[in-house]
Amino acid sequence: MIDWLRKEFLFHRKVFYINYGMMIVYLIWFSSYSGSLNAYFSVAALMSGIMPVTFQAREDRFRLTALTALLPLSRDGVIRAKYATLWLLMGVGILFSLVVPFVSPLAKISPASLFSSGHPIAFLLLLNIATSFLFPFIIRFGWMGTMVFMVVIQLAGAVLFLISVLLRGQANPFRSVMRAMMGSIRYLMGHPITVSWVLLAAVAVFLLQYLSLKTSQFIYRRKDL
Amino acid sequence: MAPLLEITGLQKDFGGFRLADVTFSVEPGTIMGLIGPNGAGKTTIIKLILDLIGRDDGEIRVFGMDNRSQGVRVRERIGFVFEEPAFYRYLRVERMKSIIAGHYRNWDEGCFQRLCREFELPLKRMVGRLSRGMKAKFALALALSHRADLLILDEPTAGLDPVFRREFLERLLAVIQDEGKSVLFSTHITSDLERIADSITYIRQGKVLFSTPKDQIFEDWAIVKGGEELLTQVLRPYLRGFRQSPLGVKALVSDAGTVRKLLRGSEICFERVTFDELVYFLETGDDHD
Repeated sequence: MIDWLRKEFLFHRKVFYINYGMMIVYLIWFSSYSGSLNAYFSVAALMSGIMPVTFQAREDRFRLTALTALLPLSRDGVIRAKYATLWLLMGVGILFSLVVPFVSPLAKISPASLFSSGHPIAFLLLLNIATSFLFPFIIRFGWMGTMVFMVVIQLAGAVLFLISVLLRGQANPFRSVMRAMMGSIRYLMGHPITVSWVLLAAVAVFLLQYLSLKTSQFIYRRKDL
Repeated sequence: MAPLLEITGLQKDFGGFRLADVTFSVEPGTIMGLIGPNGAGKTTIIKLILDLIGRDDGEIRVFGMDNRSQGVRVRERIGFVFEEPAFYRYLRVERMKSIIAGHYRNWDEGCFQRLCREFELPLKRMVGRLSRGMKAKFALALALSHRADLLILDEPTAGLDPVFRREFLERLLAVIQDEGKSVLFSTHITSDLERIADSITYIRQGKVLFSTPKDQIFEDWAIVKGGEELLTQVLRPYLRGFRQSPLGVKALVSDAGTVRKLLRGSEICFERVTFDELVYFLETGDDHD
């Protein structure tokens, strides 16, 4: 595992410095631009989730998957190590997201407000939902698959937008789904932090990541490289 | 002594291409050449041995172990060199080495440093800036430095110039002779194998045409040159391919000993077959299965 993490760091360190450097700059700018905790944590969750996923896709892009599979490692072990890397990088993203409002003199977000509502928990949940879904997808479809997925998502967005325009005055399923999603996020963000809420969130995060890990292992065990 | 690599009844179906009932073995301390035309299934067999792809049926035992269920232990003792080695091109050679070395329990740093000196590998250079030949040598140095007992080489000399290729093969041969390694060497540059192989497995359209010691091939197969008398019904069963020109007939015959007896007294010229000719006549002759 340690050898694997070292390998990951050596492979990706330059991109790590660049990407996470950009992330810090962006978070500093965003925290100075908007005082909205909702917006700040949504952006932070998105960035903290996408960064580790792009690192995973790089291995595929540089055709290093075969090299990895040829090393004396079990396929399940490879996936465990990939998830360990994911969790570490997510941890880095979470740390930066929480530290920026404290250390940036430009931040409009008061550090005291960070933990006054359910924002950090919602942030963690959103982050984990995104990565636990995306990671098995990348294990299965690789770099090109991810690109195709992104394009399909954008096309689907355009189609749904078109539908919502066409159905403006009538019953609009797209708008209903979006409202439900935004309502859920607002509910999560507004929920007060209590011990039971934290425990529930911890169990949800654990289950999401566990199911994602097992799905990825199942996929990778059967994958032809 | 038990074979180092034993493949029995191996099958893999890709829809458009099928590997059917592949069976052969590699004995300890020997070099086996895997030959056949492009698309015959050589790389598929290698990928199956290395468990990069899953088999549909059959058995692959390496060092007496199943290559799937005991894959980690198997890969610990296998070295590999591919036509286009998969390295991260933005790392220096020594950094790339240190990443790979960390995964092998038997890594011999002294051996790696010695091979780098022998191969004149620039450790400080980015992998992406190495020439194709240097990358092949680097891959070979990595393969040998974790004391692999079996080397699997898939077209390692493809794209190398003849001088570099010869040097690479000589280095390979020297190391193998010194250390008693076994090698499975897949290539379509068959002249390489004439120099170094002990046995040959010929793959055609996903099937093993033959798997036999090299000397046996030279005994069993021959090139005959002569007139149209070669195309008689008596000789037809032995002709595995022929080329007719105004100068006469040149043909590949199997069961060369019998053909010699049949043609005793005639002015037919027998020549030792080269692997190039073997592949050429088998793939272009009129005796396709």
